[in-house]
Amino acid sequence: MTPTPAPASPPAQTPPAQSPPAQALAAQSPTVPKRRRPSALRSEWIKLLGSRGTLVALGTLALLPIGFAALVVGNTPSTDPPGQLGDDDIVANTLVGVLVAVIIAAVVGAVTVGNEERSGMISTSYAAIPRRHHVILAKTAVAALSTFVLGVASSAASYFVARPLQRGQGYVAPSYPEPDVLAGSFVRAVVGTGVLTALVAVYAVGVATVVRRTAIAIPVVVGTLLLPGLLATGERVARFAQNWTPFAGFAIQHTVRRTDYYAGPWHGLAVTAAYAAAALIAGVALSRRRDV
Amino acid sequence: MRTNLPQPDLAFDGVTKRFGAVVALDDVTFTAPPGEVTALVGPNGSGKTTSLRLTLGLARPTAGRVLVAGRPYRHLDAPLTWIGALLDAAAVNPGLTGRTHLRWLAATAGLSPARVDALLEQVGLGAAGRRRVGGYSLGMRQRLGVAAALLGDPPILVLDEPMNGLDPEGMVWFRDLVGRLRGEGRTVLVSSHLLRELEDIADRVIVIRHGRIAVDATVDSLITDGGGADRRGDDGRGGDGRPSLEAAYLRLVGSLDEAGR
Repeated sequence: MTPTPAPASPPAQTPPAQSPPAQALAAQSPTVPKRRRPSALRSEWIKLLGSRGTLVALGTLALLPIGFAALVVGNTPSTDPPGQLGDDDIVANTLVGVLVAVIIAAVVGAVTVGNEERSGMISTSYAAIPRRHHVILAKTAVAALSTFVLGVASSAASYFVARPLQRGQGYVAPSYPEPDVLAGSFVRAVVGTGVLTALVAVYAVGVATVVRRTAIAIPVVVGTLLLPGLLATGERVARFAQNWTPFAGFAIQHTVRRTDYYAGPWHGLAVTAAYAAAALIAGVALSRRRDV
Repeated sequence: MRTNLPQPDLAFDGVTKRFGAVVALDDVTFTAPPGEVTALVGPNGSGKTTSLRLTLGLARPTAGRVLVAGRPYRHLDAPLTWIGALLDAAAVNPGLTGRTHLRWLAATAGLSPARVDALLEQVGLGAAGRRRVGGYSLGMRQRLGVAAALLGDPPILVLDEPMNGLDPEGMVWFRDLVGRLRGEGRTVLVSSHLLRELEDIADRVIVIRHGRIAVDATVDSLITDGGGADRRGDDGRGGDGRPSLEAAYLRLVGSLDEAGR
């Protein structure tokens, strides 16, 4: 086991093959054992599936919005006089659980980065994958995909759970004809709720990468997302909030025309997506430059 | 069999690192060669950990460069298979199990889960691997950190204060491990503020003080040059009657301080 002198030129970019420690470096032979492709994405999935807290959050993301929607819808009676066509957006109303879903999605997105920043494990992640944007984008993909799937499932379930309760509150024909679950606007609202949930998770990954603290990222995300809607009392403010703030994305749930709907569904979702993209780009740019 | 292997070393080339007005490293140049254990020694805050973080691309040098097997860290493909690192052993999400921690690391380099289980056994965490890291003792975390460093079977290893928290049994285990890694021709760079720990395992000692290399010498020459006139009784001599490395170091540091450096 006498070491040979180092070659003058840098060694070829072929890492030493994996081998039992006993054989050590001797395992570098023409028959290199087949390895899997290095994958930032798989590594982030392993982290997610191994994190009990995140799994609990995802579980609540699947269930809590349904309960919330049932509670709200089951206690909101129709005020429209019978026989007249009502103007309430009954599909959007059954999807009110999105308010809970986006908060949980913000948590899921923020902790993927924030937990590692707190423990210091982010150093190991960046050392293992020096192209740091791969780490952040893998986290983004994992958070977005898991929240999208569960977001769509819970929004669809919310409708089917809450709609019968809504009928019990007087939202029935002829004022409110039964919605067509195959109509474009219905599908857009239900699937779009999942997309919005995933966008919020992406937004949270971006913000958490910038601020590097879960406890700062979550209030920033939830605040910018919900406060514009809560504070919009006058028409002008509401128009601005629905058109140009992260709150705009909730328009994707709209299935009817109303005088207090100031933005189209796709416009609203695109605005929220733009905020998420901006936060993510800022996070990636900073992560590449910063010392950790 | 090994002639076609690269013999990767770890080279610091005029590395300076400033944090604002603080100069953490000042024009540091040295090379850790394969088949040797190079010890980075210095008081707390002298720049040891900064050196290792620069090595791993976690911080960028203000000037100069660090080359791992001839290239900057960020240009390594699957770096885990080139260089293994034990930095802060406590820096693991406490909610993950030891096995999950190694598995996500393995995925970044395309290593198999079987490799993870083999390593857990090797570092003595076979049973504990399925428990959450939050419940580990400091010694167990160090062992997990060593497992993470060895995961990619890398030819280069950097270990920051690796003996912290190890019990006497763990110390013996660790010395054997480092001896074996050296015997396999790997490059080992190990930092410590306790020279006593490194006495039996290091070939060469680089003393860093205030961010500069104060001493760069083989262990043998350090002891021969400085240890002969030691008069501090048993503290100054090892079990075999040799003057201890620590005594030599303390005297050296004392003389540096007197010289006003």
